Amino acid sequence: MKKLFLIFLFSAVLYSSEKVKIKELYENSEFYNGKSIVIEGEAIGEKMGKGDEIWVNIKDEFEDFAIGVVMSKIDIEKIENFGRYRIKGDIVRVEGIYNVNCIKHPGERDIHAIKVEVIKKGERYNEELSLKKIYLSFILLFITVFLIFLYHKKEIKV
Amino acid sequence: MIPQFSRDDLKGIFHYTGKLIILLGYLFLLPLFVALLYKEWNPANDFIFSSLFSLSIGYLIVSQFPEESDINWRQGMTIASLIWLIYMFLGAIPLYLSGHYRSYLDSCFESMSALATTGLVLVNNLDHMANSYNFWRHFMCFIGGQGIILLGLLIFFRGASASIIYVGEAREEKILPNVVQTAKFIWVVSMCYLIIFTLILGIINIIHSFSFSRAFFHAICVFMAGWDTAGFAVQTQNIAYYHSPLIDIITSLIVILGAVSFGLHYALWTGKFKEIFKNYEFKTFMISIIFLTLFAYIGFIKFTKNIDFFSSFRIISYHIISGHTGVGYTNGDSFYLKNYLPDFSLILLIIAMGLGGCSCSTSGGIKMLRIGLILKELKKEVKGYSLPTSTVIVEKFHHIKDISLTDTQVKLSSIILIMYIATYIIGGIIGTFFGYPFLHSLFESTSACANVGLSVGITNPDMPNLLKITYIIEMWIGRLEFISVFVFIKYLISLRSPE
Repeated sequence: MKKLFLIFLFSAVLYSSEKVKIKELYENSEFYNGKSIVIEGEAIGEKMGKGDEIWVNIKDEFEDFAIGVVMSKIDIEKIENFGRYRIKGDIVRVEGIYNVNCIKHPGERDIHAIKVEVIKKGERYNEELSLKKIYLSFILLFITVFLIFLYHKKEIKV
Repeated sequence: MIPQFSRDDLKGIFHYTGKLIILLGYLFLLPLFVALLYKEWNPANDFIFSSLFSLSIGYLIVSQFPEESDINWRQGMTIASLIWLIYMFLGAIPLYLSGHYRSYLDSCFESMSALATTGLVLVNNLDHMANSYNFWRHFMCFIGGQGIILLGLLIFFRGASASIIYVGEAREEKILPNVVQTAKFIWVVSMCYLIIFTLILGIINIIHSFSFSRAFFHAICVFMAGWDTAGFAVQTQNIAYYHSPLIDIITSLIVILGAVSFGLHYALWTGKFKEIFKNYEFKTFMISIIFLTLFAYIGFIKFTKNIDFFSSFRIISYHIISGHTGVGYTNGDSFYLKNYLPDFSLILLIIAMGLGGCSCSTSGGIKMLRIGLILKELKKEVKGYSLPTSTVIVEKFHHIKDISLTDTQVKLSSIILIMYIATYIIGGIIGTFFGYPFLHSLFESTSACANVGLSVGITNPDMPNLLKITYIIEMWIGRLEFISVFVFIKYLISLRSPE
């Protein structure tokens, strides 16, 4: 009976969850406040905190909007890559309750995750060196050395 | 008639401008070191390029104008204004090469915002930016906050030239009899706080599960942008990234220390702790923060539903402190300010931003000493009407020492006050021309001119180019407090009129 109730509750939450963009959440905070929503985005930076409540910042894949998500230790272990320079973070789908002013975390605008899944694995990538820029720097190096020489020659005269 | 600049004037201007450009060339070596440390090869090449480019321009100018001579007031003011523009253009080069900016104008905007310690940003995808570029953004805040000229004072300028150029960068107070010693003191204080707070923030970050390298990288960047009241941050979400009330408290402390006069810092360093309770400017500053927080809080809870005491207090107090000190750090976001803060609280936040921090600090805005002096004069006038006409009223105030209020002080304070308010409003009106509501554009204009950096969302890469240029000018003149920029403009006009 208890299991049935939980399945019912879980599917009710799942059914009612609306997929929204992070920007949309910010723009229509009042509407989504306290509701179950689904967001998708890249896990960035690092996980923060210890124990059963860990913060992860999720950034929209295409726009510069990010939000803090509170998730459990089990959920956090699903995320392997956190986005930063030369690392594309895992793209995750988070289902949870959106709070404009979280009661549990006063002063925070956050999402309390109910379900977290990685929909695309992130990866490390290398940036190719621009040979053009390197050649340009070499040319500039010769010009600078010549000008320094010219300056010191004139300075001695003065 | 506008007095002409002579050829000798030009020689002095070009000579010292060239030297300061050379200084920038060497300053690029620090982010280059960071790039090499993190094995960021492309950024490393960009910093080599930027450094060589600055050095070649600097040496070219100096080799054409090699004679070193004492400079006069108009030269000093012109150098101070000109060098900020040149640093903006050159400092923007690695930012533009990073590929995180849509245009060179956007990188110039960010560069001026950093140097003027404003904190308004146009960067794209900051969360994936290389550490060295990010370090450069924050290091520019540190250079600008301390003062480009102040740095030059330690190396190039001596004697009367030093005193003149020091004033040109909107610093009037001489903490020590010699401006070079004053410059040294300011740098020593800043470096000591840098070590202390980088350690504190780094340890907090490690407790929050950051890796050692990331913890201290974030810590040093947050300190540099906080102490110099710039408000840049390592991640897109600014201070909200950390989700930590403790970080809010520590950054509040850093920014208050940054917004306090270096004169007061000197008094504390020399053991005169009573100065905190006696200093007229500091008292005015603290009273202003307390009252504005209180009223903004009352407005917030009156108009905002479903919010508890601690949440609203954390948000309001942080933003008022952030606005008043001119740092522009946020533990929320621009949408929060735009959509959640009632107009009443937003207006109080605009007032806090407009007032600014203390004189001879790293913060911008009108400055509390000027506000205090004008209030003193008001008190004197009111008193004058209630006493016999023959009575001579002398108003005194304590700022490091006991000072009698003079008409010149009040006149200068009033001029600067009027100039700031006029610029806030003009910028606000220009914002409305592009279709933004007046209150929001006034907020953004005040934030730019008072070098704060809080935003209601107007500042973004999609904003019109003309508005970007408007804010660049506001940041520049706001940082230099008008006078030296006016002298510079006068110089440009004199170039156009050969007679």
